Amino acid sequence: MSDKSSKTLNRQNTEPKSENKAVKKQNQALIVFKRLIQRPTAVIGMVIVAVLLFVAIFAEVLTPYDYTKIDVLNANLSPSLAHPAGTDSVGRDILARLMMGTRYSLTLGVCSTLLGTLLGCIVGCVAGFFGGTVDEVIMRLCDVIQSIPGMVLNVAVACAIGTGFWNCILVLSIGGIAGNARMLRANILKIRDMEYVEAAEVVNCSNVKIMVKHLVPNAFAPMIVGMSMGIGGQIMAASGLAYLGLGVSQPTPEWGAMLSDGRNYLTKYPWMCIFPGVLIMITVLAANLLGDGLRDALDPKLKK
Amino acid sequence: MGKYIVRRLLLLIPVIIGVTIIIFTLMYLVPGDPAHSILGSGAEPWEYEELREKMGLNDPYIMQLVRYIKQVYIDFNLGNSYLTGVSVSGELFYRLPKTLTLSFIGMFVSISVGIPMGVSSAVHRGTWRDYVPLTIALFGVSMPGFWFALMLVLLFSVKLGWLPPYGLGGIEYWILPIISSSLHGISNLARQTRSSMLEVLGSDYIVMARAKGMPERSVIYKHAFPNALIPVINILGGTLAFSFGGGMLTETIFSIPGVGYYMVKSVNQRDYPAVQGGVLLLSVVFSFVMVLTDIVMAMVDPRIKAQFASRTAKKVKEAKS
Repeated sequence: MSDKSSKTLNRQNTEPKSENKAVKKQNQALIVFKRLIQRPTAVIGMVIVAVLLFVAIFAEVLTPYDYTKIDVLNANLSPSLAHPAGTDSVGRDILARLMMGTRYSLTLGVCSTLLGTLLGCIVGCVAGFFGGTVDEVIMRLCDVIQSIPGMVLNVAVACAIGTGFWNCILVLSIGGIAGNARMLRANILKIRDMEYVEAAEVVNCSNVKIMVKHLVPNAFAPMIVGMSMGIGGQIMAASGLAYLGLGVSQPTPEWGAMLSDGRNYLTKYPWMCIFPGVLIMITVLAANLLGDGLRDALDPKLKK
Repeated sequence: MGKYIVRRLLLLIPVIIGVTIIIFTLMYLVPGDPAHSILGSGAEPWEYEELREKMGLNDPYIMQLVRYIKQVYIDFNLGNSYLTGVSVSGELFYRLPKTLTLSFIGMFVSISVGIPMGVSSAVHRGTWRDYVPLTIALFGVSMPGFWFALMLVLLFSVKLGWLPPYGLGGIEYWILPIISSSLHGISNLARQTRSSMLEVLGSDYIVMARAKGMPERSVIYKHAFPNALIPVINILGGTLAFSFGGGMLTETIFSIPGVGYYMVKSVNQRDYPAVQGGVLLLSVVFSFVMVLTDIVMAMVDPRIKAQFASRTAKKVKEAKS
C-alpha cells in the first residue's frame, strides 16, 4: 500500500517537473528563433531555404514541361520566354530539370548530413562515454581518417562503393563521420562527470539509455550549427563528385550532373553551365547564412 | 622545442600506416577483378586465373595487406598501373610538383589576400569597407570552386580570349587555376580573420592599450593582430586539405597533369594501384603540413609552448570543415 502511494507521489512529483522542462525547452527554442529573425541575413537565408523547399516539393506542378521529355528538334535553345533557362543537348527544358534538381540536391545535402551526424554521434558517444582504450582506439582511427583530405576521401570511397544517388549519400556521410564524432566526443567529455549522469548511473540506468537520453541531448546543441553549415558543404561536395563522374550521373537532374553535362557545351551554350552553378551557390549561400545566424543566436557570448 | 617536433613527427608514423591500411582496404572492397582490367575481356579463363595467382590476388586479405605495406615502405614502390604497366611512384613523382605548385601558390595567395581582407573588415566594422569584403567572402565560400573555374574560363578564355582555357605552358596558364583554387581559401580566411579580430578587439587588453594612449595602428598590429592570428593559423591546414581536394577538380578542368587529375582518371578507369598511390601521397603531404602548422602554432602561441609535454595532437579536427 505504502509502496503504491509512494509511486503515485513520485509520479505527481515528476510530472509537473517534466512539463516545466518542456515549457522551458520550448521557450529556449523560441528565444533562439526570436534572436534569429532579428538578423536580416538569417532571415534572407530562411526565406531562400523556404522557397527552395517549396520548389522541391511542388517541382512537377510548377513547371509546364516534363523534365525527362526529350525533344531533339528544340535542342540547345538559348533562354527565351518559352524556355526561361534554355534547353539542353537533347532538348529537355533546363528550368524544369533545375526545379527537379532542387529535390535531388536538397535531399542529398540533408540526408548525407543527417546520416553523417547520426553515425558520427554514435561513434563519438561511445568514445566519450566509455573512455579509456575504446576512446583511444576510436580517436586514433579518426586521426587517420581525417589525415586524408576530405574530397580525396570522398573520391576514394566513391570508387569503392560505386556511383548513384544513394551511394552518393553514403559516400558523403562517411566523409562526415570522423569530424562529427570528434565534436560530439569533446562535448560529451564536458558533461561526462556531471551529477545527473552520475545519478543516472547510480539508479542503474543502462548504458545505452544514459547515452541516448542524457548525454547526447545535452551535448548536441553545438552540433546544430555544424549541421546547418554542413548541408551547404555536402551539396557542394556532391556537385563536385557528380562533376567528376563519381556521384549522381545523367539523366538524373542533379545540379552537379547537369554542370558536368553542360561543361562539354561551355563555349557554345554557356547557360547550361551557368544556371546549375548559380543554384548551387544560392543554396549553399542560404545554408551558410542560416548557419551563421544560428551560431550567433545560440552563442550567448556574442549577444551584444 | 626540438623534442616536441620529434614527437609530432614520430606520431605521424602510425597515422600514415593507418591511412595505408584504410586505403588498401577500400580498394580491396571494390567489386571487380583487376585481372580483367589488365588483360581486357578477350583472354582465356585460365589466363585470368594465372595472372590472379601471380599477382597474389587469391591470397587472404591480411597477406595482401602485409605485402602491400612491405612493398610501399620497404621497397618504396607503389606498384604498377593496371592499364599502362607504368610505375605509379614514377608517375606521381612527375606529377606531384604541379599539384604542389597549384596548392601552395593558391595557399600563398589565400593568405596574402584573405588575412588583410579580414583585418580591414574587422577594423572598419559596420562601414562599407566591412560589408563589401564580407559579402564577397560569403559568396566565395558558397560557390563551388570548379564552377567558379568554369566561369573564369568562360569569361577570360572564351569571351575575352585573354588567357588560355587549359593546358600547361608559361605563366599565363597558371593564372586561372590559381585564382579559382584560392577563392575558397581567401573567403574562408577572411571570414575567420574577421571574426577572430572582432573577438580580440573586444577584449580587455585592447581597451587597456587604447586607454594608455597607444596609437590605433600599434593597437591593431602589435596587440590585436598577433592574437587574432592564432585561430587563423589553426584553420590553415584545413584550407590546404580543401585545396588538395578542390585541386582534383581544378586540375581536371584545366587539364593540368597533377596528382589529382591522375587520380580522377585512374578512378574512372578502375586503375586501383594509381588511386591508392595518389590518396596515400596527398595524405602524407597533408599530414606533414598539419604537423608544420602545429609547430608554427606552438611557436606563436605561448599557451601551447607552456604545455609542450601535454597533448596537442588535436589539430587535425579542423581538416574536415
